[in-house]
Amino acid sequence: MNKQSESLKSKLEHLRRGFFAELPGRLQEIDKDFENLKLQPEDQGLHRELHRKVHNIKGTAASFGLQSLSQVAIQTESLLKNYQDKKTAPGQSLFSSLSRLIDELRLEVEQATQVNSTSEPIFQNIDLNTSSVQPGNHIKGQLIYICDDDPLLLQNLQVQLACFAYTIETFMEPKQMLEAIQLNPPDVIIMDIEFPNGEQVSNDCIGRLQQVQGQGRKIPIIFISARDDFQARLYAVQTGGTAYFTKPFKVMELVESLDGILAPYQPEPHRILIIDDDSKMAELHRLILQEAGMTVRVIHSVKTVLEVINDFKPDLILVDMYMPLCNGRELAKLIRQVPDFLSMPIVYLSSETDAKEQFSALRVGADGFLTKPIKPERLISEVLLRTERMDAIRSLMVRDSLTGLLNHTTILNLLETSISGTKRRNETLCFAMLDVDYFKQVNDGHGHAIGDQVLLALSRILKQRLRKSDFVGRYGGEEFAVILPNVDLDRAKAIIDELRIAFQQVTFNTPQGEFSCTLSGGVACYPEFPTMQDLVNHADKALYIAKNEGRNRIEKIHAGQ
Amino acid sequence: MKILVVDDDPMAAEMIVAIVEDAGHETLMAENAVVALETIAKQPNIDLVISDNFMPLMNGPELCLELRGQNFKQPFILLSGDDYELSEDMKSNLSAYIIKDFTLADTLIETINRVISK
Repeated sequence: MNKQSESLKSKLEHLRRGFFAELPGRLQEIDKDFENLKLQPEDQGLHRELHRKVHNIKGTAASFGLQSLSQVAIQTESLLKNYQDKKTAPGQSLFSSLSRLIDELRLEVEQATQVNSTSEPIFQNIDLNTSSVQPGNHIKGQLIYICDDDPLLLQNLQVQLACFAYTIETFMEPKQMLEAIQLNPPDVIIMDIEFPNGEQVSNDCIGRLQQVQGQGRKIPIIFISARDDFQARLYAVQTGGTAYFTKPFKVMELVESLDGILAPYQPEPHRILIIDDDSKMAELHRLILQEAGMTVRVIHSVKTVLEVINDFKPDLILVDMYMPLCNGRELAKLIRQVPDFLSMPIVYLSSETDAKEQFSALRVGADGFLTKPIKPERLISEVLLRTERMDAIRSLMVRDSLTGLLNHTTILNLLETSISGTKRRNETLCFAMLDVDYFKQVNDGHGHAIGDQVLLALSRILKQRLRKSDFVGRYGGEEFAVILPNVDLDRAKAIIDELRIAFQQVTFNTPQGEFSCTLSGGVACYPEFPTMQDLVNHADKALYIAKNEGRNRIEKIHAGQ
Repeated sequence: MKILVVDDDPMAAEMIVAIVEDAGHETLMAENAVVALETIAKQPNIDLVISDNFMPLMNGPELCLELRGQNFKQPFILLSGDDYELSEDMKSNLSAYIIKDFTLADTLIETINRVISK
């Protein structure tokens, strides 16, 4: 529906290149403005101009997908905005922070212009991240370069790792890989420590390998080798390798190591809702918490609080005790009336120093009381303390301990909530039930430890190949459930089918040899099935049909079947 | 449709124009709110305004307010690089509000179609 035409794509690409060409010039102007501002710190006009220029870079960088440049611009702009509100002349500390940030901006611009003058246009990748899911394309995998002189090993690794949505490129010689790294640096390198001419891969080669465009950011290297002696391992350590596997190695172990290095799940930043009618104070607190990496939303009035909570889904609410319409105590009670928000952390911020008042406030279900004015570090640590604790508790309550996926109750609750959201936005949603085929035989024949490995492998595939907005749960022993918002039935079936194929290609190692597993699945769609129970029942029915029709297949179901 | 694009950053403006024209619309450009107001006064059949938030002289929401005060009834879409806090009054004047990120191309077209069909 919203496919960009080829001519638009090339126009945008042309504009993007124009942007890169402009960036150094823009930065020069920012430098100039900054120097002028230092000479005339009271000049509000200069201040505004500088702010506007940074703001523009932020917006355009974001539109072109230049995340890190945009991020630095955001930080710079926050700093400028904060002082703009104060209306007093900025002092030394502002100038040194600004100076530091502008230097970072310059670095980002340099990096951006270097890297992007030769690599693939960014817009091709962007399609993968939009909500219009295409089978096989909806996740951008992380890039891994593998270098080994054994073509069979390369082929095997490529196939195996591709199951887990990594993008793999293989090389038979370090030289080839080095060239490729100059053009397009990967996220991880896997390479053999010895090559056919018997020489160890030289230090120099490794050093060059690890340079990435100026910032000295090193690409993690996993060494694989037939040698297992001390000398070889020492060499690996000395050349900065992150991990070492001896051949023949278990691919699953390599995958675990990759997980650890690539950390595909950055924890979502904590979301904080600030309710304060004093907008300057609220902004200051917002700034402090954002600097600490949190996502913050501010509202000045309590009228819309329940909607905002539903919409923004905060991890913690920071409330001013005394506000028009209702005070902090009443607000906490109001929020706690809603069963879902019973455990939502609420922390009061107030100039109230009276201990009795504080206690009475705490008694209505607040989780803490902070007095204004509060030191930034204190605010951050108090908030983090509570949000991290809630994270841990929530994890225990909602996740399956083996796979880390959502548990049965949680996935069903989520299905219910997802349906309401979908209904509100007038979209569609699909629900899939998956079941590992002949799982009982795996447990009986190879033992539960291996059975667990099978479930873990499937969990990993599900987590890595689905979008952040999809939900995955362990529904039962060998049953899994997936909620796919904003896709139609055919797309959902195609996505799940891909998962089926990926899972089929994983091989598990046992003392008795290798084996692989298959899965069957059923998919049903909302609004064709309008309630949670309907969806579940019919996805289950579709799963049953899949099993009956021979297993290792995905069936979709319509009403009336 | 005739769409007026208001943005002080020529790069950003060009990008929006490219996206909008690709979807088959005609565009006019204004580099700030004052030029935008003049353009609207001279060209009577502008169907929709897309404006950046932060601009010299007058920012996006202020432009919208001014236009509504002049009885300009066409849809007004605000673009921003920011999660800008807008007041309730302001939101009621705007037809839509989009944050600039890499999904801009798709989001913008979807939003235009949505506000036009209302």
